[in-house]
Amino acid sequence: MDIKNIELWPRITFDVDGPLVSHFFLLLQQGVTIRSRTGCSVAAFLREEIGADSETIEKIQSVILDGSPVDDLESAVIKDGSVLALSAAMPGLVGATLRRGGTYSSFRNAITYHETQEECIKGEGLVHIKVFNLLMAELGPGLLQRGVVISSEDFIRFATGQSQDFRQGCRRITLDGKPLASGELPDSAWLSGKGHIFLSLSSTGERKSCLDISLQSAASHIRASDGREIPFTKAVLTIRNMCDSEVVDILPHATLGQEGGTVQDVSSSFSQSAHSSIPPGGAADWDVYDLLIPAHSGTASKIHMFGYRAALNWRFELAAWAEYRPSGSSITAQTPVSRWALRWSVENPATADVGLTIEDLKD
Amino acid sequence: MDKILRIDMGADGGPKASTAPLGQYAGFGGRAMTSAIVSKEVPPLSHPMGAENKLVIAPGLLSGTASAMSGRISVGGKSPLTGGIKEANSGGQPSQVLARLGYAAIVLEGKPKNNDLYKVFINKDGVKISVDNSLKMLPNYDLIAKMKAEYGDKISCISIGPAGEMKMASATVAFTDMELRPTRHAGRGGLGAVMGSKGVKVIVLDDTGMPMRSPKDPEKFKDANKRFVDGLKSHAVTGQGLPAYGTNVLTNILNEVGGYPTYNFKQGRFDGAAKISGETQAETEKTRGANPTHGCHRGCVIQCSGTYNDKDGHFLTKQPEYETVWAHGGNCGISDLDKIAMMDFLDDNYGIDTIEMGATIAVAMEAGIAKFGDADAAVQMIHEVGKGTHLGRILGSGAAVTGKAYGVERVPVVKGQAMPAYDPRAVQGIGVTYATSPMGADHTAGYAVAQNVLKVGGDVNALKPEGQVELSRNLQIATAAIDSTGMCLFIAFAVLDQPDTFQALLDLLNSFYGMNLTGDGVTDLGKKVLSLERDFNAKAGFTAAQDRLPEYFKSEKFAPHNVTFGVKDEDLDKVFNW
Repeated sequence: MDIKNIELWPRITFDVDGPLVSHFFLLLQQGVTIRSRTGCSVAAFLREEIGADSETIEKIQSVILDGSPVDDLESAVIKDGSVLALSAAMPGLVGATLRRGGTYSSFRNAITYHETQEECIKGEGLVHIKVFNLLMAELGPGLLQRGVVISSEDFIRFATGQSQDFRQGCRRITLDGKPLASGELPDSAWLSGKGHIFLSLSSTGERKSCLDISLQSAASHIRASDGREIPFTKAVLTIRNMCDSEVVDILPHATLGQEGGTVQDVSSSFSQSAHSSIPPGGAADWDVYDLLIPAHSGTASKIHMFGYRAALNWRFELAAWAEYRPSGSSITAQTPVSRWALRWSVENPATADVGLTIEDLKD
Repeated sequence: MDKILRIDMGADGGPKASTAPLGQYAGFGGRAMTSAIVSKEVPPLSHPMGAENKLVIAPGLLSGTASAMSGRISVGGKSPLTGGIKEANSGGQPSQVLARLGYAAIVLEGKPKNNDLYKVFINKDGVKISVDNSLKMLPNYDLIAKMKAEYGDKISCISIGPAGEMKMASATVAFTDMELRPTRHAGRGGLGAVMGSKGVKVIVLDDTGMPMRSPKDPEKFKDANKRFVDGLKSHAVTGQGLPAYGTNVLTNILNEVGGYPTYNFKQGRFDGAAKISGETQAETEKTRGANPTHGCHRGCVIQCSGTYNDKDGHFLTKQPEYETVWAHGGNCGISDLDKIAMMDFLDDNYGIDTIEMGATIAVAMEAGIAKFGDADAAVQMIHEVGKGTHLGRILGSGAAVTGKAYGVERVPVVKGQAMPAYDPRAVQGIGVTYATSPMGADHTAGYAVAQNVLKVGGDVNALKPEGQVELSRNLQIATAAIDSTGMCLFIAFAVLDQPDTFQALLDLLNSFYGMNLTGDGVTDLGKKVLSLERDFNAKAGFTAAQDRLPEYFKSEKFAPHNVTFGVKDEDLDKVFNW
């Protein structure tokens, strides 16, 4: 069967969301085929066919069309059968060389894309798209929701590499619209004779996480080296169960960085006050100063020597997320990563009150 | 960091250590220090394994301070691989520790009068050199385990494996990482063989009781460091791409543009690229409980190294770099990531340069010793090197010697050193750097893409053919300068795009030393280092004939673009006209 007869290929649809969507991303580096409008510029294709907004297009630093790096997205034309590869900014001199329109683009003059088609022939055709590195998470959900054609060989390799947890985590898998039994995938021997399949995800939206992670300030006191009790604003990290059922096997993670220093994994500090389950509406709290900072070796040693003053006027960056399992489910889920910047400082020099500013950091 | 430690391995009565002030080498660090000492003190016509050659180990100017990314360390000497001057640098812990101990360089001189093997222990109380023949032929991991048992886990080590002891031209000098594993290597040029010729197996460093180095202007230093870190974290490459995937993120894109040398530089695409890409590697690491985001030394905020576990979840090796995965992967037609990781471990353990070893295996495969794609045969070849069999001795001498021994024409070397993972026919500008760098074919020689900030050499018309020559010159100057600061070269990505980050780097140096370095000063430093190196090579017998790619790059078309290397010889000869 000709690959162009997309309608004739077996259609496999996965109803998944959350972290399971990322399992499909590695298929994108090998390349997937979509039916789309052709005869348009690469820029128009990215905007109108892939759904990339201007911010995402800015992140697409290297565009490779039919094996050649593209400098001008407006003049390069997508045709039936084009192979388009997309990458975020890459390291090194060659990474810089391959960026579109970069200072070092002359280094690869011999392979740079030059449009030879003088007149655009508008039409419809098949375009093979490869998505690399950080762009997989940006463009992958949209592409997969739209549906892509891949070789049955690639699909079989993908399917056999997935764990039982993945299969059971899929809400539904359908073959040509008919649901398969729970945990079942289409028969490999049957698929291998088909050449290609049409793969799509029926839901690529992020499922609302059961756990909400927040950071708040709270009035407290701290004992100074001379024995005085000084007003000190605590930072309290809270994980709250927003679902109607109990959440179990909670595994919190956090990284902490002090400006100018290293970012360190401080997840071990959670084990000091483990909360392996939280009932509906319940919450678990951790004091950042008492529990998390001592797990950062660089900061801890300074505080050990100089007391709380060693933490003053430094910007700390805290990132936190958690793995968990809704009670009754065998699938481990993960919250989004939350990030904050914290800074303790003396608010009133007369009383030495220590205040705290917390800034939400967006990715 | 105000003194140089010299150890005369050939002194009467046994090795003798002495320290001296910096003198004429004041203000030098990293590559500037190693190249200054080698060019001044080593006779260019001396034998690399002879008593007259010296092995210089120098931390960067900001090593041992609170500055981020300051943990690179340079190793220099006359190279047994190229026959010219060599500087190879590495990450790991020893740079910070050596600097805190106060040493701007260690210089190993002379040659021992017998076959004893020595270990050197340096701490705040001084230097102790002792014979320890029980270390003979120990691979690096076993050696470090023994040092840990003897000196505790607060140490860091500089060592050689069996390849260095056997004085093989592809031998490395190994540096331990934060976990006290010998995973970081000054790989290129065979400087491990020079260390072996000095009879030194390991240098153990312990900075217990030594404070962090203090800047002249602490407030300005702290401010500059904050701006520097912010710049690195906010950049797409240093803040996101490298931490997520490491350098192997380059595999897919190099393959896509047809610039990924495959089957010993025969073609530019490898069918198995996706199986060994950075994306696949990171996913594999995460699935097995390893960590793709990890620093190679304290003070690293880029975190581009990582760990690689075997199928059972046990540590196998550090996350292999792009060049390693390419050398043992696509270049040999191998698409098995676990086998490539095993080869990375073996290279580290025996102390062999991963680029040279991979390129050599590919040449051996072309010679018919094994078939392309035969991963088990490739693993076996590395064992041959580690054991020092007759075949191993040839392979351990590098791609050029192996090509000669087996009569292979397609040997991708310049000045005897194997080319890394970017084909110079597809990316011709990098071919200019491969051809003309005093170091031999080296992708990092023109890595510091800071031309638009430094404006070295004035404005360049990159669209003209000669623009590639000018750009290569400027890149080599900038790289020599950054190598001399001892900062990780990966900071160059942020410096390229963010002039404020480059200024923060200058401010770090200025506030620490109380000087007033400008962009022009950085350019002058880079030129000075390159001039010293070129001068040494000229006296060692190098001419323009050595500044060339192998002839077949000019005649053999490279698929899929079917291009040849087109930069003219007369243009290559203009690279160092300043």
